[in-house]
Amino acid sequence: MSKTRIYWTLQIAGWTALIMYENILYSLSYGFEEDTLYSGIANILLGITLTHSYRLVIRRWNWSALPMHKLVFRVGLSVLVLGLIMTAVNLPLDREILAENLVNQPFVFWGYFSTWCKNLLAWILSYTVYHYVEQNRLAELEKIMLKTSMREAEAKVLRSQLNPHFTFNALNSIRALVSENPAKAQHSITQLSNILRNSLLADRRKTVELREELKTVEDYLELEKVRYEERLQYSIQAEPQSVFWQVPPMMLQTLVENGIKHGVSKVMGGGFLEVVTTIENNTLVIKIRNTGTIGAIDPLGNTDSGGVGLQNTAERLSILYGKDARFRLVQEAENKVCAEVIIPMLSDGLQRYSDEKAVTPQEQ
Amino acid sequence: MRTLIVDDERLARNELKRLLENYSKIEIVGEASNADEALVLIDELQPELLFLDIQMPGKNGFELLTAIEGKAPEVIFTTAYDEYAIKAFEFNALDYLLKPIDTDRLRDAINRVEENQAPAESHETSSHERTDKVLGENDQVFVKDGEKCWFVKLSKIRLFESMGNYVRLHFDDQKPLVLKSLNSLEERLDPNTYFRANRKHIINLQWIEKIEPWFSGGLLVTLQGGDRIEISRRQAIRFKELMSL
Repeated sequence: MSKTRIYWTLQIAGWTALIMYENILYSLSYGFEEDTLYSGIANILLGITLTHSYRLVIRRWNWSALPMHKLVFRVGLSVLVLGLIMTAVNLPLDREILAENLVNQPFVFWGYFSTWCKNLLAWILSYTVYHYVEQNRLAELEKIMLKTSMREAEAKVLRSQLNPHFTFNALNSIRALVSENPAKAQHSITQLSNILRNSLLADRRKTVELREELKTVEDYLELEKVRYEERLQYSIQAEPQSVFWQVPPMMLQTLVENGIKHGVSKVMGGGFLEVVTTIENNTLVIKIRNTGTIGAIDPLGNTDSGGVGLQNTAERLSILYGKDARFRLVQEAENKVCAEVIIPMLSDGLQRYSDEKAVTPQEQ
Repeated sequence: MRTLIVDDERLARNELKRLLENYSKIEIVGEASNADEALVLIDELQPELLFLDIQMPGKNGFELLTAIEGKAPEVIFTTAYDEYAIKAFEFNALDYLLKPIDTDRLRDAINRVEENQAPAESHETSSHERTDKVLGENDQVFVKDGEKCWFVKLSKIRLFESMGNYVRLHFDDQKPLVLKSLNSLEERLDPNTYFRANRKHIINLQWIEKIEPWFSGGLLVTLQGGDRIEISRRQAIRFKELMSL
């Protein structure tokens, strides 16, 4: 809306200024005549009409989408045609009303023609260039928007994904347990259901309390313990104040899974994994330490940087908490990796200290 | 059938053992929890069949197979979920079972192994007379090049070609590279079937289509499939000895 307004303002003001400037110059030199004023007004209207029809044409045939050489050719031709029309109208008119000596010069047609062409060229060029730039900018913007929405969809897919390798191995272990230790098998099935449920719910919730997440992690580690037996040692230490902190669902779980997958599961004699959560300077600090080496080579030949999963974690954190949240992975000692997550308090009052009622999932 | 189970998880091994109880032909001679243990057991027990997990700490299943000296036993892979590996299997029709194991699939896999074993049985006597480390034409080897892997019967390999530190195998329309020297391969191949034609090539005598005299006392051999290999003068003398009555 406002763009059309700007366009019309510029149209009217521009043409009026141009024609009136000439008219005033003429009047100052040869004295004021009513006829010249009328011819001036006619010229303003004609100029606006012609350039406006040019605008309609450029829009109707979408010239700004044309390749450069075709556009230049069309712009040149338009200038000449419009200039010719202006000259054809003005020359006979001026013969009637202007002072003799002005009109009877040699090459007067070419003089008129070139003057009008110059004016129109200025108009058309500025309009077309603006249109051209605008069009490209919009196309660029569209591309960026598309990219963002694609990335968002991707992140959504990635975030709640439970490693299928884990799921099927757990099921296999449980099947073996059914005959070996039925009670333990029952317990394991419950734990696996908890994890699956949480991973499904994660899609619908922005954050959960840390203690919920810790419960999932504990179930997960217990299941992995069934599978790895004495090869996995783990511990979870949570500072009591930290367990009500709001954290993104399944994030801690993903990191622990990562630690098992890239660390413990690759070491022949097994390894350890330790989760420590503390409150420092009014922010939540989660540290996950495990046996392993960053950037080790995957046995199936893929270089294993843990790329997508870890990148996703960092991205999720920055989307939710901005710059204050941090995630890093460091080699603390030989064969000991530490993943550290720093999560600030959620500013918009999402933090809740109450019990069960607060835990109801936020339906969206 | 003498069978070895290789899996890093005790429970997974137990479950498989329980499933295999129903098969009287399968005799479980041992179990290993990693590749190094498995290699020792394979050497000691000479199993005919391997149930092999892919993801294990240390060497994985594929690396274990490539590390086997001598002939590879029949192998049924077991894996919980491994997109890349499964792709490799499907490409080459290697047998694999997904954990938890489906009993029907297990039966099919075992039947197939038994079918494979049957024709090889007749040659068994002759191959047993040789030392264990020499590969006969009915023995199969496991080959892995990049993401692709094959179990290939030696009789199908028509040509071994030296490429620096690697040897290129030629069979069917495949030409994988393996990290071995031609000399070490020659030692392990049956000299009645495989012949060192020159510094760079070992050929399978069964695949020879045409023999022509060549410059300075050498020979030019054309293999089925069109590969033309020159036999050097020194080797040509041995070749004639070998081929004449």
